[in-house]
Amino acid sequence: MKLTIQNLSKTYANGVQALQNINLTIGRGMFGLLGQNGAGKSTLMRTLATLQDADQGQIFLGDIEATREPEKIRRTLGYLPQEFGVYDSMSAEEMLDYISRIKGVVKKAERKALVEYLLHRVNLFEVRKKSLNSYSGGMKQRFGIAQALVGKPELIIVDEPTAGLDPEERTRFYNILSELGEESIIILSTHIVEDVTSLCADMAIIGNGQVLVHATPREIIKAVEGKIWAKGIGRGDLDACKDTFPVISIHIEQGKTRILVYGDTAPDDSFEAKSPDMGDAYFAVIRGYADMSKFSANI
Amino acid sequence: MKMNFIIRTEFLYHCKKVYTLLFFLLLIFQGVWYMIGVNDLFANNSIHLNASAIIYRNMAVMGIILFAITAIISASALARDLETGAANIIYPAIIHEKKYFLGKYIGVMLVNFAVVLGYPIGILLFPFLGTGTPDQFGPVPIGQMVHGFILLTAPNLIFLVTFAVFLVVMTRRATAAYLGILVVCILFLLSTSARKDSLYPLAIELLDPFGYCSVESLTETMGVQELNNAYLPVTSTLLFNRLIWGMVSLLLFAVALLKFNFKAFAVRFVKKSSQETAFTKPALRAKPSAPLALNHSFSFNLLKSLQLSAENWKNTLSSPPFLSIMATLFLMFLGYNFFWTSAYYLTASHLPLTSVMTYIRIPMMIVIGIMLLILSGELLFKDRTSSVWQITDAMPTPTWVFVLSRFLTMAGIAFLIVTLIFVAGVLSQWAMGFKDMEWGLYLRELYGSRFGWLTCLHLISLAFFCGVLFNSRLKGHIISIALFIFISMSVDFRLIEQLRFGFPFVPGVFGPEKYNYSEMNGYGVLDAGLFWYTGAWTSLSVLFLTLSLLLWNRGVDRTVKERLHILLQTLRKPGGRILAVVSACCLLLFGYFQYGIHDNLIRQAEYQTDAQKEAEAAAYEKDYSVYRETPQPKIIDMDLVLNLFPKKRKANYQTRLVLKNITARTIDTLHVDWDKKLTVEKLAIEGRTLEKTQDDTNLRHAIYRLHPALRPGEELCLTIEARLAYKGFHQSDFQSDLTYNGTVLGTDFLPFFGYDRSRELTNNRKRLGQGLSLRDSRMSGADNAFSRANRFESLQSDGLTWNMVVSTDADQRIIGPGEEIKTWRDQGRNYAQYTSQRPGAMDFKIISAKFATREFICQGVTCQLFHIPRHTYNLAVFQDAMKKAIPWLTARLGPYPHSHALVIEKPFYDDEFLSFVNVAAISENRGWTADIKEKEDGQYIHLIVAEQLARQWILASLKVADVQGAQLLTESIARYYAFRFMDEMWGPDQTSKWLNQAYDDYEKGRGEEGIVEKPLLLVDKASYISRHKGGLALYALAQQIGPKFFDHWLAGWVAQAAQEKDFLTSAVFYEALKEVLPSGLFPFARDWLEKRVQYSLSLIHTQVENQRIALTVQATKQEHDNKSNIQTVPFSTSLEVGFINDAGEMKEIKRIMLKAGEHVYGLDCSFIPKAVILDPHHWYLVESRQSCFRKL
Repeated sequence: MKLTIQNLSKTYANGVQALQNINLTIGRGMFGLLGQNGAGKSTLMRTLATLQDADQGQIFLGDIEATREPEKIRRTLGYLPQEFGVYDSMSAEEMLDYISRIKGVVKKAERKALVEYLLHRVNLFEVRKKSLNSYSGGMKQRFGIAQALVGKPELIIVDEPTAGLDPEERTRFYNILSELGEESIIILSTHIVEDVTSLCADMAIIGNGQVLVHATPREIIKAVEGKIWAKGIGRGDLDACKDTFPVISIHIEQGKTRILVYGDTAPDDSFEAKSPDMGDAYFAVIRGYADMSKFSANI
Repeated sequence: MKMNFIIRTEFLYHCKKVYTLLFFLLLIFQGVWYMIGVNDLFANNSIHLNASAIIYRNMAVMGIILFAITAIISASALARDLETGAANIIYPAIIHEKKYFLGKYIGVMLVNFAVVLGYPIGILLFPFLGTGTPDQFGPVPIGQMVHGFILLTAPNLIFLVTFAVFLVVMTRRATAAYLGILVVCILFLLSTSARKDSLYPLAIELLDPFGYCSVESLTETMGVQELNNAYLPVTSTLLFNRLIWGMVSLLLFAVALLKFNFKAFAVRFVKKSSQETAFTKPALRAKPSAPLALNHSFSFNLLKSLQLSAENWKNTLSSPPFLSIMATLFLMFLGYNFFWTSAYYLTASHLPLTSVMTYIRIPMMIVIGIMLLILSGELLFKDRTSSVWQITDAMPTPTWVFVLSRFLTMAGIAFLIVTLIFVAGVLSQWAMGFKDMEWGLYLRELYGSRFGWLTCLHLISLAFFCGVLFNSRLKGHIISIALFIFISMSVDFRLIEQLRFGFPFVPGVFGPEKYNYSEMNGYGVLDAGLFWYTGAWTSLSVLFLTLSLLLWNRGVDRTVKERLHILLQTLRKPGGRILAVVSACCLLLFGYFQYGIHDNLIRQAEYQTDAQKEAEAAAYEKDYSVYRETPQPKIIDMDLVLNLFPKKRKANYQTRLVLKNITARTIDTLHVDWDKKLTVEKLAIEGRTLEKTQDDTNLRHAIYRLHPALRPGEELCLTIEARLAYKGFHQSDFQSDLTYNGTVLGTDFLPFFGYDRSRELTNNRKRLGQGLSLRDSRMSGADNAFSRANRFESLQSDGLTWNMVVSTDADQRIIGPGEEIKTWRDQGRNYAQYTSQRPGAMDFKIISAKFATREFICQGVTCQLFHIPRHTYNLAVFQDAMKKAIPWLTARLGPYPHSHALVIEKPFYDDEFLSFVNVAAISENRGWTADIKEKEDGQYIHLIVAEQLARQWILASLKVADVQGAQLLTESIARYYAFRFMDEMWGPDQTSKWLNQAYDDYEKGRGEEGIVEKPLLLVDKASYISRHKGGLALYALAQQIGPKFFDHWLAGWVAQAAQEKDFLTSAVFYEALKEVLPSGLFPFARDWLEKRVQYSLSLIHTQVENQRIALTVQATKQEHDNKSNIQTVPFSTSLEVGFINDAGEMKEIKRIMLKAGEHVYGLDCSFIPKAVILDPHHWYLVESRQSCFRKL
């Protein structure tokens, strides 16, 4: 089973081009989607989740064309939106039962078992009777994860899922996703680039509505190997450095400012080579310095 | 932060919003709209379209749009802080929370006042919008408008704003304010609908939060000049009302101010979180091993929509605000049922009939409808408002499952509301010991389309459609509510005359009468069209729902272009095609039902709008009034065979009429006028020929030339064969003269020979609109020789004899005029033969209905009570009334003129009392269903039975000319006898209740006068004068000269007048009366009969020293001229003063010589009185009796 996105474009009524000719093929496992705010990630996620229409292009899940048959896609879809609400008056158990029902789980016993399993899995079983309105942000997010897993989805779309989760919860959540990734396609949209490196076998970076790169994390990091240079500078020199060098990111380390620049060679002797990580690669790509044309076959 | 800054910020915040301007414009619209609506409540053309009374009413009524706007603006002031989260930032920065509250309160109050100014602006704009000619407007009553604004609108607005703010402070929710104002609105609607029928109007006037009931009560008794110009008098009731609700506002404000503090108010942000559970604990439960059975079949989806609906239903029911609204509604339904009364009976209320128990849904439907519209929109957009849509919209459930489940939930809520009415009704009946529950009627009324459950479903579909079309909860609310209110008010004010344009109204909801249901005849012909109207609205509702499904926006908000694109895509799919086909079918069905209504109502029943009716009447008068005084022969004998088919609303007859030329001129033309329902198949004349020279089928008037002409004194025999039929159905006319059960057929089944003056427009405002000359009276004066030669109420005949055979359906009984010769049954039909015992007036009716009978003999007269079989409740009282009235009247007026006396129950919508020959027909809600517990409760029945029997005596004796003052003889004398009968049966103290009631009815009648109020002596077909003032006048005169003497004289005069050959006039009566009146009473009689006089008496001060009492009385006397101008005149008259003892009884009466102005009058009393009353026996027409009474 593969998810294929072909020539997907979307322009909003105000003229903003949210998606420009997106092409992606995503297989089973976890797929990371990185991009800045406003890059078009959420538009792409919503379009994949059938909540929004593209102006052009097609989406296939296996042989199902999502743009034509959204109902069929929805049957295999689990979606955790970036922000979501709950019915004030319902408890987690009731709401999950409600969602199971609208997802098509017919038998009451099955629904009950499924709800209990999911509540255990996200560790909300003990508070299942409480009103969702009384849940903390983290608990609500866990509930969101549980609801996305209802009905054994083959395509799971999670948009910024770990916002509001503490590091331990984040880890736990990723473990669940990893387990699911063995059987399903999981698209993970996040700002946290390290998560993509550690979790995703495949990824894409999106910017200005376009896929800037589609490759494995290792390939992307490898593509910038030997091209990232670091230098500690005084705070007053920052603007001058920005004007002079292709700065991809600025870090504060132990109270000192450190800049990372992109280049085939060190700009000068004061720069030292840095072993790149996904963060560096990401910034190099979105700043437009890194040449990722060799991955264009994937796009 | 200064308070001024908070006030300014709040004010400017609203000023910058577009909706504030929209609200302002809406209120301008409401001002204009209400002026048009309230105008129609006043008939007289002398009342200006911008009369001060109309403005006062509008200033008090406020209007539903204003309520809604006030609720929205006021609730937002503080709730906005919470909803936007601004409280988190603002509250910590402010030191003085009370100042903050005050600033917000004053700010929002100012905004409300600024917006509400649109309302008076609309009222001021009204004269410039071309709604009337300049002469129909008076000078702009600016002073009265300001007075009304200060007295009514401003305190009402302050109350509403304070109440809304109070509720937000107490609950921290804007919805509480909306619901609170909705409850106030319910209270207001209940007050206005219950006031007129209530035994406790004072309590209701005080309970009305807006003072509208008091304003209505004051203005409905005003004369023309007062209505046009007067400042609203601030009576004690109105003052108390204002004070009570002013105090309530103050109290609410004080509590809100004390309760408001940031900590408590912002508590919404400090949520009680569930105990945090760690995510890192291992999962205890194993994954379900068996694969999940996911089902997306149609049947499962259908089941799913039911399950989701049940889930929504459960959630709604568990919501405390919803439950509290339901509880409030239920208590109101119960309250209405228990306190619903009928003003006729004074002491008794109405029996809790099922039709009474179900009635509450009609005045409440606006409120229930708005509630359903709001709840529907809220439920439809529930996923959006709670931001669950991103999850649910990505689920594999088809859109129709969501929409259907929500529709079913709303259907359930609507079902619950109407079932609450049902439960309240049954409980009330049970608690009041009433056993005749009509389960079928409950079912039809509460769950059908006549403002029942089906209507609720229609409204829900409208809310869904508006919400979906505009893809916005708020816009959906505004559009659907505005549409519903606009249609409701337009139908009520008759801006929309044809109900087929008034979704979701059906015949029988808003009709010509307040109540449209008859115990005898159900909704009658109004039921005939119900199927078509229900079909039209139901198919339109299904269309709304299918369009809602097609247009429902799933996922993110889309532009119109995108939605159209999706719609086209949807239509290409099988589901979309099915919906398109269903929509097309609904549209076709809607068209079919609309065509059916058009065919039945417009084509077959020849429905006319008010304007068309007026135009036809005007055309008739313009074309044929030249023949008004053309001599025509009079009917002197009639042989009739009439076959009624009530179930088919048909009849046919053959008749042989003998007509005689009783004039001194030769008659060579016969004018024939006929009613719409009549088709003349044969019109033949024996021994002469009839040549039709003109046949106007549009105006239904034909002219025949008689060969040879009919010379004075000659007779001719006319044979007529004709059919009567009502075709199609009607939406508001009961067509009671040929209906399913309760046919009351008048003599208009015959053609009318001559020019029919009853077809003329009598309302001057309408005449003006049609270019006709204005009338100063509905009748000719006594100097008109032609009219004087005609008999009042019997223009076709000065007196005729008859022999008639009438047949009807097998289950009905015929009641005819005169002596019943025999009854028989033949071929499944009931027959009866009637003949006249003496020549009588041609004003009789032929009645057919399913009757039960009670028969008894009284002084040799066979008395019969014909009633609805179930209405046996008060038969004993009716029987007692007849048994007492017949001997009492016999003792005064001689033996009853007929062998049988019949009292008959007739459908309520024909509310007028009918008396002809030996039959008195009384509407079904006039005593037949009064709840008589005590003996005194039956007084009303005695009063009306005595009056109608007295009329039969009078009508059999007096032949009255068709000129002004006729009703003084035909009605006032009978009314007088009824009061005297009450005097002798129950005592004068009891009679005074009925005298007061008559006075009130007279005052109300004046407000509805269409031309100019005439003095009693010249009464011109105005029963409010002849019955209510006339009865009082004769009673007052009798008290002055001694009742026994007056009775004796009156009986003698009636006996003598019965011998007169010429038709009688009121002048003849008055002249005779003056002969026996002491000259000192001439001014008194002149005031009552010749003039329109009103006294104003006010007992300003009293002082008691031992048994010597000094009374300071302010007195004025005002006379109205024939143009309704009032002038104060000097006077001096004898006035009774009653002294009341500790037990509340009037123990002593003294007289003073009352003079105009303020004077002190000293009187001795044999005891120390507790209270004193001026004019205790109602000898004078006193403007208001409240100021005549004073406790000592």
